[in-house]
Amino acid sequence: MSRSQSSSLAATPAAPTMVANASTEPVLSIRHLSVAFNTEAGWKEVVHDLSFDLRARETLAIVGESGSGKSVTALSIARLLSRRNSRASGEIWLAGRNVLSLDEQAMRAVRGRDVGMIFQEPMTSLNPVMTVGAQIGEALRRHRGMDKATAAAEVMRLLERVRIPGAKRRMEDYPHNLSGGMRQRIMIAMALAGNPRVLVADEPTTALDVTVQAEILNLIKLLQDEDGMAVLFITHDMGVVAEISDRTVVMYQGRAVESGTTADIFASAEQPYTKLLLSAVPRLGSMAGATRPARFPLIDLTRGTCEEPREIRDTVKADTPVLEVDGLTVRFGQRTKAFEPARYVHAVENVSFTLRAGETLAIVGESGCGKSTTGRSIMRLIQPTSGSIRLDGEETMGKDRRCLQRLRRRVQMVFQDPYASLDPRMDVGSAIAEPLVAHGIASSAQARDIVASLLRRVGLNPDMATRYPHEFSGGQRQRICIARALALEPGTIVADECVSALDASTKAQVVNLMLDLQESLNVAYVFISHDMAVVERISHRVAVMYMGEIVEIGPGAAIFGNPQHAYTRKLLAAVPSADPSHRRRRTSLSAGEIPSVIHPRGYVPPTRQYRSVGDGHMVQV
Amino acid sequence: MAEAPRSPQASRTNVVADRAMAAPTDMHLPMTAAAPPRKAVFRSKYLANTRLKIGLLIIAMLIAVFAIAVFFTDLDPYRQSLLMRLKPPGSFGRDGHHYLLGTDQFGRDVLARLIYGIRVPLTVALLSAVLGAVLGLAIGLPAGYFGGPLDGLLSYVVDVQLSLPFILIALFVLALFGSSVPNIILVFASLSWPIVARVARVSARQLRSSLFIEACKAAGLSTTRILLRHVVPNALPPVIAIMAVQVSQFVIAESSLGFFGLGVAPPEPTWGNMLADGRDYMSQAWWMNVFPGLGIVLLAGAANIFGEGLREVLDPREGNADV
Amino acid sequence: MTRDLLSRATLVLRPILKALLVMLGVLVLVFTIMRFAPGDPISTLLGEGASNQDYNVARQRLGLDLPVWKQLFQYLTNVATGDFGMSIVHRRPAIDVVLQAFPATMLLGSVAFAIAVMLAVPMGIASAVWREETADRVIGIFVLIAQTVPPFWGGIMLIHIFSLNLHLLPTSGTGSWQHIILPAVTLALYQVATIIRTLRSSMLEVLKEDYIRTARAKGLGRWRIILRHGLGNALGPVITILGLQLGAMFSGAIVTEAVFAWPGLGSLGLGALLTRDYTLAQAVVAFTAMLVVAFNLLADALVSFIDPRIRDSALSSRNAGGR
Repeated sequence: MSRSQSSSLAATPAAPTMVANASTEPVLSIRHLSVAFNTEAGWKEVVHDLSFDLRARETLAIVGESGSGKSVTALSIARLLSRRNSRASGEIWLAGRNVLSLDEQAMRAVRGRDVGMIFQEPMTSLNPVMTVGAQIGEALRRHRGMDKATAAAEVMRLLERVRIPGAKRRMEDYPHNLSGGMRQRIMIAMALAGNPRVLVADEPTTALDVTVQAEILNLIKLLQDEDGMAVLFITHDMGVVAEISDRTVVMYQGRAVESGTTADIFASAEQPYTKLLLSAVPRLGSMAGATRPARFPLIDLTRGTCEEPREIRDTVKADTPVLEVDGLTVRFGQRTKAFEPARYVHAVENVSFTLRAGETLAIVGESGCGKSTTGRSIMRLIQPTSGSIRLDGEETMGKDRRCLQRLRRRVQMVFQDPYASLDPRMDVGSAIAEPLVAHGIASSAQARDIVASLLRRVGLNPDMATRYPHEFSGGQRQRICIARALALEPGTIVADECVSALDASTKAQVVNLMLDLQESLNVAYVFISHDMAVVERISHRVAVMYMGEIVEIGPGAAIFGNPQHAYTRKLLAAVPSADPSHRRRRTSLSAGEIPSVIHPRGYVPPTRQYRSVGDGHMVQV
Repeated sequence: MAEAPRSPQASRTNVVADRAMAAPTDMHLPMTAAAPPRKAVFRSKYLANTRLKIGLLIIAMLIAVFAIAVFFTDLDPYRQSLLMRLKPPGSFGRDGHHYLLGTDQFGRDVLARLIYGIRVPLTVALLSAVLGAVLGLAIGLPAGYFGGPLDGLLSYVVDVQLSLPFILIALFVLALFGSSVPNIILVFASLSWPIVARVARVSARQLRSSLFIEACKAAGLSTTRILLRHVVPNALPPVIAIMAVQVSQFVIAESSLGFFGLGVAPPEPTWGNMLADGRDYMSQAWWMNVFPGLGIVLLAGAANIFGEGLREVLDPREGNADV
Repeated sequence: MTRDLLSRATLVLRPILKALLVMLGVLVLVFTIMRFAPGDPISTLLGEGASNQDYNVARQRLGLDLPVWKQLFQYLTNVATGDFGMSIVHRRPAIDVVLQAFPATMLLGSVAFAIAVMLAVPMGIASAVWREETADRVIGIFVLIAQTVPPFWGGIMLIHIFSLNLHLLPTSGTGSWQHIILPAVTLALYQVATIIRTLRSSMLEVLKEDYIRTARAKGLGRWRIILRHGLGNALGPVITILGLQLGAMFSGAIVTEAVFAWPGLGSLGLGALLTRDYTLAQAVVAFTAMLVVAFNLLADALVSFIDPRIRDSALSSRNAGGR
């Protein structure tokens, strides 16, 4: 099948004819779909003239960044958009009917039966006051007319199909009793209840850990094999696209920019935007052989040129440790009922590492491993239970408030959510200047000049200083946060997942900015992240955390090229590879229980031994 | 512990429309070019809200009527005339005075008393609301922000106060201590600050764990600075919205006091007093009962509408609540 | 496992303990108000024309020669045994007088509450489901009127219309079932407004949630989604508010009882204040407040029963890692 641009898939006639050969007949056919929303500024079109087909047993991925209209497309298929604020034109052919021409009553028969949907946030997508069994059961009763007893049996069968162990017990659980991965499996079970021919998945794994994501992707593929279902998969992650889809549609600002088989698109994309997306996607293994962090290659949309990735110069000053963490332990008491023994969450256990000037140490791991807690402890936003933290050789633990204020200037933090890290009621100039004024370093007038130079340094225009946060995009806000962090001229910056919430292309730009700053200012970074591919590009050294402990630490090349610890290997294996020819073998991974870091009082964690694998590469035994 | 970090698609509310038309995306904004100038969005939001305008308009009108009456007419709410007792609306007096709304049992002009009758309710309501809000903020904000024993104490006090039936306690206290305007204001404020404190407390708690406050702490800002410059401005809007609604409730409460004879003492014209007077003459002089009530409804209604409008502006209902 | 039993026991005991503490706070407050009222408490209590001997006897009996905290203690122990003192006017233990008037208020309150709930729940749901359409706007106007019409005036107007003009219902007093209609409707009116507003806002919040979108995607019927998924989650805050409403109802009851001459706690309390029977007044206030606390306790218990999240976090300990 040849690749095509825009809507040239409309080579097929406007209404698909009922051909005898069912397997080539598309189960879902979108023709010239346009969707518009009613905003404060009038009707705005967010999807323009979109067309594509989806066949049985096929997985089609719609990939794009925020604002591309991909989610809107998915919701339009099931007509889930607001009836009063949106309007759609064109045709959506599903099970022989144009869904856009049906009234609401008829739609209720289509939803769940002809098309099943799963959404991004399993936590909020399930009714918190109904048992999961009841929620699946009501879909069964609605679409397959079952009575209570038959439905109960079928619910168990569905739970087993989605590989949830202990189905009988799980049925009576409420959503808040389950983990994210499990909830998503429940959602899948609910979507399958009506035996739909099409499954629409709207970013179902974006909010999940990468190992859980791998399990869910495998599950979807398995179910597709068993059922012959067609899957429409919406995502922003090209790695996931490569992993899971047969064909791909690339969307940008409401239009299909490029479409074709996944293999073709990855091998030889034609459109500049597609190339930009591909280039901006961090690829694991692309840094093999490089000794220093390198910038992302950037494609300029308007000029179509590509910047080659450049390694940064050697910024590491080997003899100047700016941060020394030794035996850091953070434990939280958990609220228990009366008469129950006290319990503690061992968030961070005996973590030690050294950071040198101009160096980037990445701390990686999945949610709950303690990396964020470590970062916050360094900033003293959380009080460590024990251990030592030295900044520029000076101990910070046990110091009084005045001392801490002074030490705070040496290390600053950039947070994950650029939307929430800025006070919505303060203009960005004041926000950046505030640390200067508060520490008495500069007067308001002097601060203005400093703010202007800081804004320029992070690539923004100085007269944006009077604007408010809501007037900026996510990437710009993150730059403002970086500018704020630089205001006090710290030697170290703790970046807590600071690019995780950004689109791939913006991610690349911000990472490049951070590398520029490292080159010019010799700033050191503690880069906390779960995104292994970004980490590979940006870091000198990497520490892998699991259950509150560092299981492996060493130079980036060593960790990625020669991972020793089992968990590190599992982590690396779970990262979706942005290369369709490298698809992982599908194993039927079932949902396991997550080990707990909660222990009763008096529990003494086992002392860990580390062995050296050479050249600063240490592994927990 | 949190799930894997979320993309913007996840961290905002599930408003697909919002994402589709979000603030400028990074794709098409060249790096150092100046962003096109944008009007201050919130300014125009306030002006566009109809409820705000209607509420404010009515209150302004009422005050204007009062001012006109005081400065430009010779309406006298106190002058009695035994000859003109209980005359219906539209009657003319001996001296040609047109009693537009009739007279009461002492021959006083109902219209005059109606207009002058706004003084006490409005003053009491406004001052009580302001005092209550100041107290509520001063106690609720630190309680919510710092938590701990102060918060526990506050919750306890709030629970106790909320268990007390408002009017009953107000009557009780005023009967014992006398019902002068300052007393009334004090009683109202002390019975209502818990509600404001609760709102302030909730705001403060949310703010305490919000990311930009953490960023302030990370930057080493002092607690005082954080409280004054970041917490208060963000906690203020819901408090102001509550205040508006409380003004409405206080107007009604003050007239209830007057109705029971435990409000500001006669011959001061307040709507409550007028209704108390009118009660004995229900079958004879309907105008003594209807007009003061309408006045209360108008003023309380305006404050209420204003409060609703304020709430709409400050807490816009994003999202699709379609079923 | 006894440990499990014990923690279940605390689950029940803790709110009760809390309620008792609140009641304690209320009583302390009432005592303080009484004690620090201006004027000589004894002559206030005894009224005019008491002899010196009466004075001294009363002084001793009331324990006014004891230090304040001892008086407080005395008062609290008295109340714990049901002794609220002697009503001056009725010359009987205050508690007896209160208990005699209590059923009338309960009757009025229950009927009013029932009317309010029956009216408000459908209207609240309707205004959320048909947000910004005709139904919502009409209900919105109704809510506005219900909130800004002072209950006593509303009652008077209703009497005017239904009793004096249409001669459909009696003006006041008790006797037949017709006597309860106007007072109950008047009392219900204010509550209806609050219930509708809370339910509407709660429903709107819930209807925006992701799980409603999931329910729609499952193809469920419209009203099943609204009622089973929507209302099921929206009820929590509403029930809490209803608990608080009961407190407001007692306040409203005073006014309504006064207007309609309904012989309940409200009339009793008002009469006590007007006749300076402060012992009785204090008994009414304390008793009413304790009732409110009890009702709030009930409401909280109901909410935690309905919401499995609260149930589970209080009972089970199986949630590792807090996911």
